[in-house]
Amino acid sequence: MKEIDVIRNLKAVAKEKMDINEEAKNTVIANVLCRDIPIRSRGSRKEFILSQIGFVNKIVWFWQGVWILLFLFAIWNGNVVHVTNESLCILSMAPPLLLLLTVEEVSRVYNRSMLEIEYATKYSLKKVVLVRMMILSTANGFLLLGGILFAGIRMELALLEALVYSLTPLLLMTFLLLKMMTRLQGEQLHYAGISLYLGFLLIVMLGRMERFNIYGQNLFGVWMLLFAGGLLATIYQGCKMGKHLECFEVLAG
Amino acid sequence: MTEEYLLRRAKEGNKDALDNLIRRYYDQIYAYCFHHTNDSGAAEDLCQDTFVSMLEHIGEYKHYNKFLNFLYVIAGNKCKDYFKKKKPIYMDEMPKKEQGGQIQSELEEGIVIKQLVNGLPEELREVIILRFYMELRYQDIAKILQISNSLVKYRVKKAISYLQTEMEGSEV
Repeated sequence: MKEIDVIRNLKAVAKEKMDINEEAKNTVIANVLCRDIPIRSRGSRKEFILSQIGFVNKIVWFWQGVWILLFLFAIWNGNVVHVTNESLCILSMAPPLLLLLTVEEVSRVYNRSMLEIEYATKYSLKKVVLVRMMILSTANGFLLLGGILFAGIRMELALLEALVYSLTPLLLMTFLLLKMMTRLQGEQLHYAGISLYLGFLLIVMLGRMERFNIYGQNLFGVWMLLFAGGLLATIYQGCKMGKHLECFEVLAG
Repeated sequence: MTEEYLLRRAKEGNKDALDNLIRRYYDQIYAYCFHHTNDSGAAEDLCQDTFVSMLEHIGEYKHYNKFLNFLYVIAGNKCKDYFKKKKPIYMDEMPKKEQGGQIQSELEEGIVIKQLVNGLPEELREVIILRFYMELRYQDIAKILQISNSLVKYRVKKAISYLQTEMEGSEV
């Protein structure tokens, strides 16, 4: 028997007249409609955001807690009472580590087999990703702000300097990770993020040496420029990612 | 009345719109359930369960372009639940070549193919029902089953070759 014969047989089955009992049909419809089922709405925006907090993996909250404890411990117990290249190095390298801990959580949503994609059929994928990012960014923001203020006070460092030295690597890394996120997923993204972080670590470790002295006051202008550039690039990449997510919705349609 | 209009009214709880929606898609959902169960009573029950679930979730439903796909997803889940409660059908129980001439005549009536389809593994049976019985496009099947287009094509091909082998066996 040929493939076409099988298909012909299957189509013949489909063409068989199906007797639909009109009486049964009316009974079914009446049974459905007589049930007083309250129609559930999609819920308010607040409920949606709160439900998304529940979707964030618990281990992420745990690592964030570990991060802030270690950061405070390093600032409190380390030799960072005065501003030194070593203390600024800690300030620069700790925030991107926090980002690295949370990036996989956001990228999980890209994976089509995940539970989140089912959730995204109720809410758009763009909303799910953006709300997830917003939740993690808010949590990270509070941790960072607390950590940076504490470090600034402890090191007697001006707030602007503390912010620029800590947030510039974070912004640059956010930009690069957002860019990677459109191409890489899961483990790949995780390892790429670690490599990127190690790259940053190498630059900062080399840069703190007398020979390069990237924390010298004469280079603060460069840090400011990098900060502004990183901020703009992150915003641009964020918008681009938003458009990319809309493509998913077109596909879903 | 357009589907969008009916859905909007149904979400507001309008009974006429709900009635209209159910009547519009009842036949397809019934046929889909019937092809799974081969039992009109069970198909009617599954239809009812499908529309009750639809009613429960219609408020959360986000309309893209085909409401029927959403109903097929619900009906598919209801059919899975139905089979979980029932004894599964195995290929060993399928009519084989020893039934000879009788099989040949049944073949013409399409009974054997129905039985063979029923004996297929669930994932293959589902694509056959959606593709050939319900005459859906690959793209729609992919959306309903939440798998890729190419995987749908692969499963259809695999199911056909499976049926081909079984029917060749029946012919001998």
